[in-house]
Formats: sequence, C-alpha cells, structure tokens
Amino acid sequence: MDGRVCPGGDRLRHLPAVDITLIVVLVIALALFFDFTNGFHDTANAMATPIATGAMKPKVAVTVAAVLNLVGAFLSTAVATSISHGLINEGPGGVAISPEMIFAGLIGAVVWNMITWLRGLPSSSSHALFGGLIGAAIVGAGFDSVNYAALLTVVIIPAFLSPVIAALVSLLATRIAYRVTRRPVFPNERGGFRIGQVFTSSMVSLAHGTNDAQKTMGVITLTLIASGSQSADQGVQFWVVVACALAIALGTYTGGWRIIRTLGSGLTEIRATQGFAAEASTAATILASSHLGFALSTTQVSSGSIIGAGLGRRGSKIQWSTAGKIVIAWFITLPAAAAVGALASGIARLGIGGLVIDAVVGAAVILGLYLWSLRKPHEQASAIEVDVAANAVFTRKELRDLQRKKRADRVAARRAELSRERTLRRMAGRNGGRR
Amino acid sequence: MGIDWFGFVTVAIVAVVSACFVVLVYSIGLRLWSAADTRAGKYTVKDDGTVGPATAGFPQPGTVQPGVRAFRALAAACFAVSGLAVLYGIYLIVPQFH
Repeated sequence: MDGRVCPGGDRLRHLPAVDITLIVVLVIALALFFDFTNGFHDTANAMATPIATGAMKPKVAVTVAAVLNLVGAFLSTAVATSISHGLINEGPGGVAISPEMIFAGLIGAVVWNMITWLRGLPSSSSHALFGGLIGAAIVGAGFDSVNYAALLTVVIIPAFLSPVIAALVSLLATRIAYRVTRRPVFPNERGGFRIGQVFTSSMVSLAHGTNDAQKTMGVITLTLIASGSQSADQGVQFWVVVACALAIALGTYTGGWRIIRTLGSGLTEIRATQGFAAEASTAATILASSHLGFALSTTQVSSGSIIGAGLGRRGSKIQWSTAGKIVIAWFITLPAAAAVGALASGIARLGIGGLVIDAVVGAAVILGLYLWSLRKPHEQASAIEVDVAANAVFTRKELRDLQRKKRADRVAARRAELSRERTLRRMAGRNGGRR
Repeated sequence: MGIDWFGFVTVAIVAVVSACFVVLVYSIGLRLWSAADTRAGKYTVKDDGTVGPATAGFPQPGTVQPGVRAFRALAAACFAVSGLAVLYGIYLIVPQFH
C-alpha cells in the first residue's frame, strides 16, 4: 500500500495491474448499480399514468416495462463513443477521463438518484451522470476540462424547453381528445382510451430501454478500453450488454413507486383520456427529438406531458407546489451530483486507499438512504410498496364511487335549494305579492 | 455554441402534428364506435334527456340498424391507422430496421 500512495504523480497514472483490475471491477459494479437506479427511477415516465387510470395493474405495468426495457437494451447496439456528450473536453487535445473519474462521477450520480427517489421526485438520470462526471473532472483535471458552452446547450436550455414543448403538445392532444369524444346526451367511450394507453406507454418504455441501457454500456466499455482490457475498435462485449440489460430491467421491475405516485396522482388527477394524450405526446416528442437531433430529456418530457394533460381538461387542478419541487430538483440535479462527484473524486486522488474509502462510504450512504426509506412509516418502501402504490393511486372503482357520491351530494343540495325557493314563492303568493 | 433553434422548432412541429394526429384518429375511432352503439339501440334517450338502458323490443332480433355496420367499419379503420402509427413508432425505435 505504502508504495502506491506515493507522491509521484506518474505512479498514479501507471498503477500496477492489480489496481487497474480493482478499479475496473468497482466501476463495473457501480455502473450496473447506476443502471439499476436508472431503471426504477424512470419506470414512472412510462407507467405512472396507466397505473393511475387503471389501464394496467401496478404489477402488470412494471412487468411490461421491465420486459420492454430488457428487449430495448438488446436492440441498442450503437454505443456512444463519448459518455459525456461533449460536456467534458475528451479526446485528443482534451483531458482523458480516467477510470477513477468515472467511478467518482458514478458515485455522484447514484447518490443523487437515490436522494431524488427518496423524495419521490422524477429527475433525469443522465443529468445526474453528467453532473457526477463534471464534478469529478473539475477536481481531477481542473475547470478547463468542462465545456461550459456544451453544458448550456446540452443540459440547461433543453431543461427549459423539454417540459414546455411536451406540455404544449399534450395540452393540444388532450383538448382534441376531449372535444372529439364529447357526447352530451349519450355515454361517451372514453374508457376505450385505456386500451390505447397500454400501447403508448409501452412505446415510451421501449424507447427508454434503447436509450438508457446504452449509456451504462458506454461507460463500462470505455472503462474496459481505458484499462486496456479490450481494444478500442472491438465494440461492446456481449456480457456487458447482458449485464446492463438485466440491471435496467430489474430496476424497472422493482419500480420506483414513490415517483410513480408523484407523477400518477401527485401532480394532477389523471383520467384515461388525459393519460392517453399525455403518453402519446411523450412518445411523439421523444421519438421526434431522438430522430431529428435535438436531444430532450425523457423524464422532463414525460413530466411536462402530464402537466399539459392536467391543463387540458376543464376542472382539473394541478398541484403547482409539487410541480415546483420537481422543477427545482431538475435544476439542482446537475450541481448536486457534481458536488458529490467532486468530493468522491477528491478522495479518489489519494490513490488506492482513497478508492476503497470512496467505495465504502458510497456503499454506506446508499445503504443508509435505503434504510431511511424503510423507516418512514407513511411512505413504505421496497417489498410492501406495491400495495401502498396500489392503494395510494385510486382504483377505477374507487374513483367512480367518489364521483358518484359527489354527484349525489350535488343533486341533494340542488333539490334542497329548489324546495326552499318553492316555499318562498308560496309564501310570497300568500302575501299577495304574485298571483 | 449556438442552439439549434431550427432543430428545436422542427422537433416541436413534428411532435405536435404526430401526437395530435394519433390522438385525433383514435378519438374519432372511439366516437364512431359509440355512435354505432347508439344506432344499434344500445341506449334510449328518455324525455328528460337522460340516457337509459335499451328497451327490450329494440332492436328487433335479426335486424340490423342502418349505418351500424358502416360506423363500426369506420371506427375499426381509425383504430387500424392508430395501430400503424404504433408500428411506425416501433420502426423508429428499433435501430436494426433502418
């Protein structure tokens, strides 16, 4: 140990093979865990609305999402050559992202993902990853290593635009859906939107699988290349694809019930028509953005769509305080993950001992956050969360009962009012006022 | 730097048009389906404007109300168009197809 934590900077760059193996194993393990958190963080994007409207039962919904994410992960073969999308000046003339930086960045991303999940806030997993890497790169290679112009165009501007465009699309779609199916006399067939929801949500899920598992594959492959375990022109190894696909599918199946609850019933009360319109808008916006080259964040698009759907139905209320919290979470995701990444990177600079400290502290924090999630009695986690989510999001029958009760109350009130009016009129008649 | 505003506007327009198209077609399908239900005598309208269950004698067994089949066919066509939109979406998602 003593020999490795030596002052010579060059020694750090030429760590012995044993250490390279350790860091590679750590990065792969953490990357897979990041993939897992990415999965359960983003289940809500696709499945919150069908669960809320009763189009799919909670368990069925997360199973469908998990399978589609698994399939999607195997479909995506082209892995990005740059994990940071140009946010960090990589490549010739720039800094080399070392495995230590990737490790520190992943710690930042995972910890921030856990925190936002605990608060039930949908935040972008890719922004968390970018943030962690940026923080790690600043500490590891100085402020010059970050491309701030790219930061503005890749992260900050899209963060403003994604929810706005999605809300607009979804608002129009919801208006159209309600206008077309409006039948004042006959019963409308809006229940049929539930069937449509199954398809639109599944598409969002599949798109998510093809995009997000790929990110982790890129991280692992670049680490393997950097450590010399595979050549640069070899592409992704099959076990990496399998591991990433399984990690994201397992994460999706576990289901981030807190976030599902926030998006499904926390922002606004979603009905089948709105859910269909919202998911159709999410799918359309994501597909348009990924094929026409203006990257928008899936999480932000889907939150924006739900708000748009809430605005589109007359008489629906939006919890703007919840929406505000979500927006704040979006904007602090990158700096917060960067701060954690920077801290982890600073510790990692100590050498092999620092890496071990990082790993231990990181694991302790993650475990602590998980245990904390179990402790809150009103917000149960993990195993029993399925039931909680099923109860928290009203079932169709309960909603119908509530509405029926409300209607009965209104009729009773109107009847009482009418009878009072009639009495008054009778009294006025007796007094000779109106014959 | 410089933001690709043209790209952004393109994405916005394409998203609005495609989402609204799918929702419109699917909604029209549902509307036609319920119109067919009405024509088939699934509901009756009472004098006060409320909707009740179908009366026992209407429609007579063995008779087909005019237009029911046409409405159902049009609705099915709308659903088919929505299905094609879903298939096109899958085509876009899966990289092996293009």
